[in-house]
Amino acid sequence: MFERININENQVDKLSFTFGGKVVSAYQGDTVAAALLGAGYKCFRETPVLGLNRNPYCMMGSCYDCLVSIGGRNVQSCMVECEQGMVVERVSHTKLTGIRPHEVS
Amino acid sequence: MKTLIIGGGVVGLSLAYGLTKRNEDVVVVCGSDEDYNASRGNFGLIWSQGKGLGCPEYSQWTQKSISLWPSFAEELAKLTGIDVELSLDGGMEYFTNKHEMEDFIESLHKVKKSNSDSQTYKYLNHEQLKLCVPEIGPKVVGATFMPGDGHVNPLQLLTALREGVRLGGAKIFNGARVKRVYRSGDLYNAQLDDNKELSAPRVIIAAGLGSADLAPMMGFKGAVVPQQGQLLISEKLPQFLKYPSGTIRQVNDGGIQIGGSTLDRGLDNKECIKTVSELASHAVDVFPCLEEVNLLRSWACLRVMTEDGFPIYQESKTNPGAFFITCHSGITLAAIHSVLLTEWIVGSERSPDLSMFSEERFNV
Repeated sequence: MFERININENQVDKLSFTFGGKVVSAYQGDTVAAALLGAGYKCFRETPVLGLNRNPYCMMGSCYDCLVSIGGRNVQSCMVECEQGMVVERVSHTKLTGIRPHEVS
Repeated sequence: MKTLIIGGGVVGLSLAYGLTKRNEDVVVVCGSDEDYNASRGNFGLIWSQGKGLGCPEYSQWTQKSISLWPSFAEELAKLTGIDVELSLDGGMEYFTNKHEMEDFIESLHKVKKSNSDSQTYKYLNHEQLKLCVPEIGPKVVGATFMPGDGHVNPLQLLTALREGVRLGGAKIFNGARVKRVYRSGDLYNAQLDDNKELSAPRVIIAAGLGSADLAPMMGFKGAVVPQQGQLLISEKLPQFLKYPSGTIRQVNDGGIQIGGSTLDRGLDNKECIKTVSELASHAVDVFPCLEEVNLLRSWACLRVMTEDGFPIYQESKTNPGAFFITCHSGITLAAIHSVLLTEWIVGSERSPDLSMFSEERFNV
Protein backbone atom coordinates (compact mmCIF):
# COMPACT_ATOMS: atom_id res chain seq x y z
CA MET A 1 0.00 0.00 0.00
CA PHE A 2 2.75 2.48 0.96
CA GLU A 3 5.86 3.01 -1.12
CA ARG A 4 9.08 4.81 -0.31
CA ILE A 5 9.87 7.76 -2.52
CA ASN A 6 13.21 9.17 -3.68
CA ILE A 7 15.25 6.64 -1.77
CA ASN A 8 18.83 6.02 -2.71
CA GLU A 9 19.33 2.51 -1.40
CA ASN A 10 23.07 3.11 -1.02
CA GLN A 11 22.71 6.08 1.27
CA VAL A 12 20.44 4.73 4.01
CA ASP A 13 21.20 2.39 6.87
CA LYS A 14 18.88 -0.53 7.17
CA LEU A 15 17.89 -2.21 10.39
CA SER A 16 15.40 -4.73 11.60
CA PHE A 17 13.13 -5.17 14.59
CA THR A 18 10.30 -7.52 15.49
CA PHE A 19 6.58 -6.86 15.70
CA GLY A 20 4.58 -9.55 17.41
CA GLY A 21 7.56 -11.86 16.92
CA LYS A 22 7.86 -11.28 13.17
CA VAL A 23 10.91 -9.59 11.70
CA VAL A 24 10.28 -6.21 10.10
CA SER A 25 12.94 -4.36 8.14
CA ALA A 26 13.20 -0.59 8.29
CA TYR A 27 15.46 2.31 7.43
CA GLN A 28 17.29 4.35 9.98
CA GLY A 29 15.10 7.30 10.86
CA ASP A 30 11.81 5.51 10.26
CA THR A 31 9.25 5.72 12.99
CA VAL A 32 7.88 2.35 14.07
CA ALA A 33 4.52 3.32 12.55
CA ALA A 34 6.10 4.23 9.20
CA ALA A 35 8.11 1.00 9.14
CA LEU A 36 5.05 -1.13 9.93
CA LEU A 37 2.95 0.63 7.30
CA GLY A 38 5.86 0.21 4.85
CA ALA A 39 5.90 -3.49 5.68
CA GLY A 40 2.23 -3.72 4.78
CA TYR A 41 0.59 -4.01 8.20
CA LYS A 42 -3.04 -2.95 7.90
CA CYS A 43 -4.08 -3.49 11.50
CA PHE A 44 -1.79 -2.51 14.37
CA ARG A 45 -4.28 -3.23 17.12
CA GLU A 46 -7.90 -3.78 18.02
CA THR A 47 -9.95 -1.35 20.10
CA PRO A 48 -10.38 -2.61 23.65
CA VAL A 49 -14.15 -2.29 23.89
CA LEU A 50 -15.56 -3.14 20.46
CA GLY A 51 -12.57 -5.00 19.02
CA LEU A 52 -12.42 -2.87 15.84
CA ASN A 53 -9.25 -2.76 13.72
CA ARG A 54 -7.01 0.26 14.05
CA ASN A 55 -3.91 1.53 12.30
CA PRO A 56 -2.27 4.97 12.22
CA TYR A 57 -4.49 7.87 11.35
CA CYS A 58 -2.66 11.12 12.09
CA MET A 59 1.05 10.06 12.14
CA MET A 60 1.82 13.05 14.33
CA GLY A 61 1.17 11.97 17.89
CA SER A 62 -2.36 13.14 18.26
CA CYS A 63 -4.86 10.37 17.55
CA TYR A 64 -3.43 7.42 19.53
CA ASP A 65 -4.71 4.96 16.95
CA CYS A 66 -1.21 3.61 16.24
CA LEU A 67 -0.57 2.25 19.74
CA VAL A 68 1.88 -0.63 20.13
CA SER A 69 3.63 -2.04 23.16
CA ILE A 70 7.36 -1.41 23.60
CA GLY A 71 9.18 -2.37 26.78
CA GLY A 72 5.86 -3.25 28.42
CA ARG A 73 4.30 0.15 27.80
CA ASN A 74 1.70 1.20 25.30
CA VAL A 75 3.22 3.90 23.13
CA GLN A 76 2.31 5.77 19.97
CA SER A 77 4.32 4.03 17.25
CA CYS A 78 4.37 7.19 15.14
CA MET A 79 6.40 8.92 17.86
CA VAL A 80 9.10 6.26 18.33
CA GLU A 81 12.10 5.90 16.05
CA CYS A 82 13.08 2.35 15.06
CA GLU A 83 16.15 0.84 16.64
CA GLN A 84 18.02 -2.26 15.58
CA GLY A 85 16.70 -5.31 17.42
CA MET A 86 13.80 -3.46 19.02
CA VAL A 87 11.03 -5.73 20.30
CA VAL A 88 7.61 -4.34 19.48
CA GLU A 89 4.48 -6.15 20.59
CA ARG A 90 0.83 -5.63 19.93
CA VAL A 91 -0.88 -3.76 22.76
CA SER A 92 -2.40 -5.92 25.39
CA HIS A 93 -4.70 -5.20 28.27
CA THR A 94 -4.39 -8.60 29.88
CA LYS A 95 -4.18 -7.11 33.36
CA LEU A 96 -7.65 -5.70 32.94
CA THR A 97 -9.45 -8.16 30.73
CA GLY A 98 -11.75 -10.81 32.07
CA ILE A 99 -12.69 -8.86 35.17
CA ARG A 100 -16.43 -8.55 35.35
CA PRO A 101 -18.09 -6.09 37.70
CA HIS A 102 -20.28 -7.49 40.40
CA GLU A 103 -23.57 -6.14 41.67
CA VAL A 104 -23.57 -4.14 44.87
CA SER A 105 -25.53 -6.30 47.26
CA MET B 1 -44.47 33.72 23.40
CA LYS B 2 -41.07 34.21 21.83
CA THR B 3 -38.16 33.51 24.16
CA LEU B 4 -34.59 34.69 23.78
CA ILE B 5 -32.13 32.43 25.59
CA ILE B 6 -28.69 33.85 26.24
CA GLY B 7 -26.43 30.84 26.66
CA GLY B 8 -26.09 27.81 24.41
CA GLY B 9 -24.71 25.43 27.01
CA VAL B 10 -26.55 22.51 28.55
CA VAL B 11 -28.57 24.75 30.87
CA GLY B 12 -29.77 27.13 28.16
CA LEU B 13 -30.38 24.32 25.68
CA SER B 14 -32.33 22.18 28.18
CA LEU B 15 -34.73 25.09 28.58
CA ALA B 16 -34.76 25.72 24.84
CA TYR B 17 -35.56 22.05 24.32
CA GLY B 18 -38.40 22.14 26.86
CA LEU B 19 -39.83 25.31 25.31
CA THR B 20 -39.71 24.00 21.72
CA LYS B 21 -41.53 20.88 22.91
CA ARG B 22 -44.28 23.22 24.03
CA ASN B 23 -44.22 24.77 20.54
CA GLU B 24 -42.80 27.99 21.83
CA ASP B 25 -40.80 30.23 19.55
CA VAL B 26 -37.17 30.11 20.73
CA VAL B 27 -33.92 31.85 19.80
CA VAL B 28 -30.69 30.69 21.44
CA VAL B 29 -27.61 32.88 21.45
CA CYS B 30 -24.51 30.74 21.86
CA GLY B 31 -21.17 32.38 22.65
CA SER B 32 -17.79 31.64 21.15
CA ASP B 33 -15.38 28.71 21.43
CA GLU B 34 -13.13 30.96 23.50
CA ASP B 35 -15.72 31.22 26.26
CA TYR B 36 -15.36 29.09 29.39
CA ASN B 37 -17.98 26.60 28.20
CA ALA B 38 -18.55 24.42 31.27
CA SER B 39 -20.78 22.26 29.06
CA ARG B 40 -17.78 21.15 27.05
CA GLY B 41 -15.31 20.41 29.81
CA ASN B 42 -17.31 18.72 32.54
CA PHE B 43 -17.18 15.24 34.02
CA GLY B 44 -20.61 14.03 32.88
CA LEU B 45 -21.97 12.74 36.18
CA ILE B 46 -25.64 12.40 36.95
CA TRP B 47 -25.28 12.60 40.65
CA SER B 48 -27.23 12.93 43.86
CA GLN B 49 -24.68 11.51 46.27
CA GLY B 50 -23.54 14.17 48.73
CA LYS B 51 -25.78 16.89 47.32
CA GLY B 52 -28.40 18.83 49.22
CA LEU B 53 -26.86 19.20 52.67
CA GLY B 54 -28.75 22.12 54.20
CA CYS B 55 -31.27 22.23 51.36
CA PRO B 56 -33.67 19.28 51.20
CA GLU B 57 -35.43 20.92 48.25
CA TYR B 58 -32.22 20.64 46.24
CA SER B 59 -31.91 16.99 47.19
CA GLN B 60 -35.51 16.40 46.05
CA TRP B 61 -35.05 18.40 42.86
CA THR B 62 -31.90 16.43 42.01
CA GLN B 63 -33.57 13.11 42.75
CA LYS B 64 -36.55 14.03 40.64
CA SER B 65 -34.32 14.97 37.73
CA ILE B 66 -32.48 11.65 37.91
CA SER B 67 -35.82 9.84 37.82
CA LEU B 68 -36.72 11.79 34.66
CA TRP B 69 -33.39 11.04 32.96
CA PRO B 70 -34.20 7.67 31.33
CA SER B 71 -37.23 9.04 29.46
CA PHE B 72 -35.34 12.26 28.65
CA ALA B 73 -32.46 10.29 27.10
CA GLU B 74 -34.83 8.02 25.22
CA GLU B 75 -36.77 10.96 23.85
CA LEU B 76 -33.56 12.69 22.70
CA ALA B 77 -32.40 9.49 20.98
CA LYS B 78 -35.73 9.06 19.23
CA LEU B 79 -35.82 12.64 18.04
CA THR B 80 -32.17 13.14 17.09
CA GLY B 81 -30.74 9.65 16.64
CA ILE B 82 -28.01 10.55 19.14
CA ASP B 83 -27.30 8.18 21.99
CA VAL B 84 -26.16 10.16 25.03
CA GLU B 85 -24.74 6.98 26.58
CA LEU B 86 -26.76 7.19 29.77
CA SER B 87 -26.00 4.72 32.52
CA LEU B 88 -27.58 4.84 35.96
CA ASP B 89 -26.19 1.74 37.64
CA GLY B 90 -25.30 3.59 40.82
CA GLY B 91 -22.38 5.77 41.89
CA MET B 92 -19.47 5.07 44.25
CA GLU B 93 -17.36 7.44 46.28
CA TYR B 94 -14.05 5.79 47.13
CA PHE B 95 -12.12 6.85 50.20
CA THR B 96 -8.48 6.47 51.15
CA ASN B 97 -8.91 8.55 54.29
CA LYS B 98 -11.05 7.24 57.13
CA HIS B 99 -11.95 10.63 58.60
CA GLU B 100 -12.99 12.03 55.25
CA MET B 101 -15.16 8.98 54.78
CA GLU B 102 -16.80 9.33 58.19
CA ASP B 103 -17.54 13.01 57.58
CA PHE B 104 -19.03 12.19 54.20
CA ILE B 105 -21.22 9.40 55.61
CA GLU B 106 -22.42 11.85 58.26
CA SER B 107 -23.45 14.32 55.56
CA LEU B 108 -25.21 11.57 53.56
CA HIS B 109 -27.04 10.61 56.72
CA LYS B 110 -28.19 14.20 57.28
CA VAL B 111 -29.37 14.57 53.69
CA LYS B 112 -31.30 11.31 53.92
CA LYS B 113 -32.89 12.44 57.18
CA SER B 114 -33.95 15.76 55.66
CA ASN B 115 -35.34 14.14 52.50
CA SER B 116 -36.82 10.73 53.09
CA ASP B 117 -37.54 10.40 49.35
CA SER B 118 -33.85 10.36 48.51
CA GLN B 119 -32.21 7.09 47.58
CA THR B 120 -30.75 5.14 50.47
CA TYR B 121 -26.97 5.18 50.38
CA LYS B 122 -24.92 2.15 51.32
CA TYR B 123 -21.62 2.07 53.11
CA LEU B 124 -19.18 -0.63 52.06
CA ASN B 125 -16.05 -1.40 54.02
CA HIS B 126 -12.93 -2.55 52.18
CA GLU B 127 -13.89 -6.24 52.22
CA GLN B 128 -17.49 -5.65 51.13
CA LEU B 129 -16.32 -3.27 48.42
CA LYS B 130 -13.74 -5.75 47.13
CA LEU B 131 -16.59 -8.17 46.35
CA CYS B 132 -18.32 -5.60 44.12
CA VAL B 133 -15.24 -3.85 42.72
CA PRO B 134 -12.35 -6.34 42.85
CA GLU B 135 -9.86 -3.89 41.30
CA ILE B 136 -9.64 -1.58 44.37
CA GLY B 137 -6.25 -1.17 45.99
CA PRO B 138 -5.21 -1.75 49.63
CA LYS B 139 -5.29 1.99 50.42
CA VAL B 140 -9.05 2.16 49.89
CA VAL B 141 -10.71 2.17 53.31
CA GLY B 142 -14.24 1.92 51.96
CA ALA B 143 -16.83 3.48 49.73
CA THR B 144 -20.30 4.86 49.79
CA PHE B 145 -22.71 3.74 47.11
CA MET B 146 -25.78 5.58 45.85
CA PRO B 147 -28.19 3.51 43.76
CA GLY B 148 -29.54 5.30 40.72
CA ASP B 149 -26.65 7.72 40.26
CA GLY B 150 -24.63 7.42 37.07
CA HIS B 151 -23.19 9.24 34.12
CA VAL B 152 -23.69 10.31 30.56
CA ASN B 153 -21.48 11.41 27.67
CA PRO B 154 -21.70 15.18 28.20
CA LEU B 155 -20.56 16.07 24.67
CA GLN B 156 -23.14 13.76 23.13
CA LEU B 157 -25.73 15.39 25.38
CA LEU B 158 -24.73 18.85 24.18
CA THR B 159 -24.89 17.68 20.55
CA ALA B 160 -28.25 15.96 21.04
CA LEU B 161 -29.74 19.01 22.73
CA ARG B 162 -28.54 21.31 19.95
CA GLU B 163 -29.98 18.98 17.35
CA GLY B 164 -33.23 18.52 19.29
CA VAL B 165 -33.65 22.26 19.69
CA ARG B 166 -32.94 22.83 16.00
CA LEU B 167 -35.44 20.14 14.99
CA GLY B 168 -37.93 21.77 17.34
CA GLY B 169 -37.77 24.88 15.18
CA ALA B 170 -35.54 27.07 17.33
CA LYS B 171 -32.91 29.29 15.82
CA ILE B 172 -29.40 29.00 17.29
CA PHE B 173 -26.91 31.82 16.73
CA ASN B 174 -23.37 30.47 17.07
CA GLY B 175 -20.24 32.42 17.93
CA ALA B 176 -22.50 35.26 18.99
CA ARG B 177 -21.48 37.02 22.16
CA VAL B 178 -23.99 39.22 23.87
CA LYS B 179 -22.44 42.45 25.09
CA ARG B 180 -25.57 44.14 26.36
CA VAL B 181 -29.09 43.20 27.44
CA TYR B 182 -31.69 45.90 27.90
CA ARG B 183 -35.40 46.46 27.99
CA SER B 184 -37.38 48.69 25.70
CA GLY B 185 -41.06 48.71 26.50
CA ASP B 186 -42.36 45.14 26.48
CA LEU B 187 -39.33 43.74 24.70
CA TYR B 188 -35.94 42.56 25.89
CA ASN B 189 -33.06 43.19 23.55
CA ALA B 190 -29.71 41.50 23.29
CA GLN B 191 -27.02 43.41 21.50
CA LEU B 192 -24.35 41.16 19.99
CA ASP B 193 -20.65 41.88 19.48
CA ASP B 194 -21.33 42.80 15.86
CA ASN B 195 -24.09 45.18 17.05
CA LYS B 196 -26.83 42.95 15.65
CA GLU B 197 -29.86 43.05 17.95
CA LEU B 198 -32.25 40.27 18.88
CA SER B 199 -35.41 40.88 20.83
CA ALA B 200 -38.25 39.01 22.48
CA PRO B 201 -40.85 39.57 25.20
CA ARG B 202 -39.13 36.90 27.33
CA VAL B 203 -35.41 36.61 27.98
CA ILE B 204 -33.56 33.88 29.88
CA ILE B 205 -30.00 34.60 30.96
CA ALA B 206 -28.28 31.21 31.27
CA ALA B 207 -24.81 32.23 30.23
CA GLY B 208 -22.79 30.39 32.86
CA LEU B 209 -19.92 32.58 34.07
CA GLY B 210 -20.95 35.14 31.46
CA SER B 211 -24.04 35.78 33.57
CA ALA B 212 -21.89 37.64 36.09
CA ASP B 213 -21.79 40.54 33.60
CA LEU B 214 -25.12 40.05 31.84
CA ALA B 215 -27.54 39.29 34.69
CA PRO B 216 -26.91 42.60 36.54
CA MET B 217 -27.96 44.46 33.36
CA MET B 218 -31.46 43.11 34.01
CA GLY B 219 -31.34 43.93 37.72
CA PHE B 220 -30.22 40.53 38.99
CA LYS B 221 -27.33 40.12 41.41
CA GLY B 222 -25.87 37.51 39.07
CA ALA B 223 -23.57 36.18 41.75
CA VAL B 224 -21.71 33.35 40.03
CA VAL B 225 -18.07 32.51 40.65
CA PRO B 226 -15.69 30.16 38.87
CA GLN B 227 -14.30 27.09 40.58
CA GLN B 228 -11.63 25.32 38.59
CA GLY B 229 -11.64 21.57 38.10
CA GLN B 230 -8.96 19.62 36.26
CA LEU B 231 -9.60 16.47 34.30
CA LEU B 232 -7.56 13.67 32.74
CA ILE B 233 -8.44 11.03 30.21
CA SER B 234 -6.50 7.81 29.72
CA GLU B 235 -5.98 5.57 26.77
CA LYS B 236 -8.88 3.24 26.13
CA LEU B 237 -9.18 0.09 28.20
CA PRO B 238 -11.57 -2.85 28.17
CA GLN B 239 -14.71 -2.02 30.14
CA PHE B 240 -14.13 -2.91 33.78
CA LEU B 241 -15.54 -0.03 35.82
CA LYS B 242 -19.25 -0.40 36.16
CA TYR B 243 -19.77 2.31 38.77
CA PRO B 244 -18.60 5.87 38.17
CA SER B 245 -17.30 7.85 41.13
CA GLY B 246 -16.95 11.57 41.71
CA THR B 247 -13.30 11.25 40.71
CA ILE B 248 -12.97 8.25 38.39
CA ARG B 249 -15.25 6.94 35.68
CA GLN B 250 -14.83 4.83 32.59
CA VAL B 251 -16.36 6.36 29.49
CA ASN B 252 -18.20 4.40 26.85
CA ASP B 253 -15.26 3.91 24.50
CA GLY B 254 -13.04 2.66 27.32
CA GLY B 255 -11.04 5.72 28.44
CA ILE B 256 -10.70 6.36 32.17
CA GLN B 257 -11.67 9.91 33.06
CA ILE B 258 -10.21 11.28 36.28
CA GLY B 259 -11.20 14.54 37.92
CA GLY B 260 -12.68 16.14 40.97
CA SER B 261 -10.12 18.81 41.88
CA THR B 262 -11.54 22.06 43.22
CA LEU B 263 -9.37 25.14 43.02
CA ASP B 264 -10.05 28.82 43.41
CA ARG B 265 -8.07 30.24 40.50
CA GLY B 266 -10.37 32.96 39.23
CA LEU B 267 -10.83 32.69 35.48
CA ASP B 268 -7.65 30.66 34.94
CA ASN B 269 -8.62 27.56 33.01
CA LYS B 270 -5.19 26.00 32.55
CA GLU B 271 -4.29 22.73 34.19
CA CYS B 272 -1.09 22.38 36.22
CA ILE B 273 1.31 19.47 36.76
CA LYS B 274 0.83 19.50 40.54
CA THR B 275 -2.93 18.99 40.40
CA VAL B 276 -2.78 16.59 37.47
CA SER B 277 -0.32 14.39 39.36
CA GLU B 278 -2.39 14.52 42.56
CA LEU B 279 -5.47 13.42 40.63
CA ALA B 280 -3.54 10.65 38.90
CA SER B 281 -2.01 9.37 42.11
CA HIS B 282 -5.39 9.29 43.86
CA ALA B 283 -6.75 7.26 40.94
CA VAL B 284 -3.83 4.83 41.23
CA ASP B 285 -4.41 4.54 45.00
CA VAL B 286 -8.00 3.54 44.28
CA PHE B 287 -7.20 1.36 41.25
CA PRO B 288 -3.55 0.23 41.23
CA CYS B 289 -4.14 -1.39 37.83
CA LEU B 290 -4.15 2.15 36.36
CA GLU B 291 -0.49 2.71 37.23
CA GLU B 292 0.82 1.52 33.87
CA VAL B 293 -1.97 3.13 31.89
CA ASN B 294 -1.12 6.13 29.71
CA LEU B 295 -2.87 9.44 30.03
CA LEU B 296 -3.86 10.97 26.72
CA ARG B 297 -4.95 14.44 27.64
CA SER B 298 -5.60 16.76 30.53
CA TRP B 299 -7.62 19.93 30.69
CA ALA B 300 -9.17 22.33 33.13
CA CYS B 301 -12.67 23.71 33.15
CA LEU B 302 -14.48 26.21 35.32
CA ARG B 303 -17.50 25.20 37.35
CA VAL B 304 -20.21 27.83 37.58
CA MET B 305 -20.79 28.14 41.31
CA THR B 306 -23.22 30.06 43.44
CA GLU B 307 -22.32 31.06 46.98
CA ASP B 308 -24.11 28.07 48.53
CA GLY B 309 -23.71 25.69 45.59
CA PHE B 310 -27.46 25.47 44.90
CA PRO B 311 -29.15 26.66 41.70
CA ILE B 312 -30.55 30.12 41.16
CA TYR B 313 -33.93 30.30 39.43
CA GLN B 314 -35.07 33.89 39.47
CA GLU B 315 -37.57 35.94 37.57
CA SER B 316 -36.92 39.65 37.74
CA LYS B 317 -39.27 41.59 40.00
CA THR B 318 -38.86 44.78 38.02
CA ASN B 319 -38.57 43.23 34.55
CA PRO B 320 -41.26 40.55 34.29
CA GLY B 321 -40.40 37.95 31.68
CA ALA B 322 -36.68 38.29 32.37
CA PHE B 323 -35.14 35.23 34.01
CA PHE B 324 -31.74 34.41 35.46
CA ILE B 325 -30.96 30.69 35.57
CA THR B 326 -27.75 29.14 36.80
CA CYS B 327 -26.57 25.98 38.52
CA HIS B 328 -23.48 23.89 39.02
CA SER B 329 -25.14 20.64 37.98
CA GLY B 330 -26.42 21.34 34.49
CA ILE B 331 -25.98 17.71 33.42
CA THR B 332 -27.79 16.13 36.38
CA LEU B 333 -30.54 18.73 36.17
CA ALA B 334 -30.91 18.76 32.36
CA ALA B 335 -33.88 16.39 32.50
CA ILE B 336 -35.87 18.38 35.04
CA HIS B 337 -34.90 21.70 33.44
CA SER B 338 -36.46 20.51 30.20
CA VAL B 339 -39.70 19.66 31.98
CA LEU B 340 -40.49 21.31 35.31
CA LEU B 341 -38.23 24.34 35.06
CA THR B 342 -39.76 25.00 31.64
CA GLU B 343 -43.24 24.80 33.22
CA TRP B 344 -42.09 27.34 35.81
CA ILE B 345 -40.74 29.68 33.13
CA VAL B 346 -44.01 29.67 31.20
CA GLY B 347 -46.04 29.78 34.41
CA SER B 348 -48.20 26.76 33.63
CA GLU B 349 -50.50 25.07 36.13
CA ARG B 350 -47.79 22.40 36.61
CA SER B 351 -45.25 25.03 37.64
CA PRO B 352 -43.32 23.91 40.75
CA ASP B 353 -42.63 26.15 43.73
CA LEU B 354 -39.02 27.22 43.27
CA SER B 355 -39.01 30.10 45.73
CA MET B 356 -36.21 28.53 47.76
CA PHE B 357 -33.95 28.86 44.72
CA SER B 358 -34.49 32.57 44.44
CA GLU B 359 -31.51 34.95 44.53
CA GLU B 360 -33.16 36.61 47.51
CA ARG B 361 -31.70 33.98 49.81
CA PHE B 362 -28.37 35.85 49.50
CA ASN B 363 -29.87 39.06 50.90
CA VAL B 364 -28.96 38.52 54.54
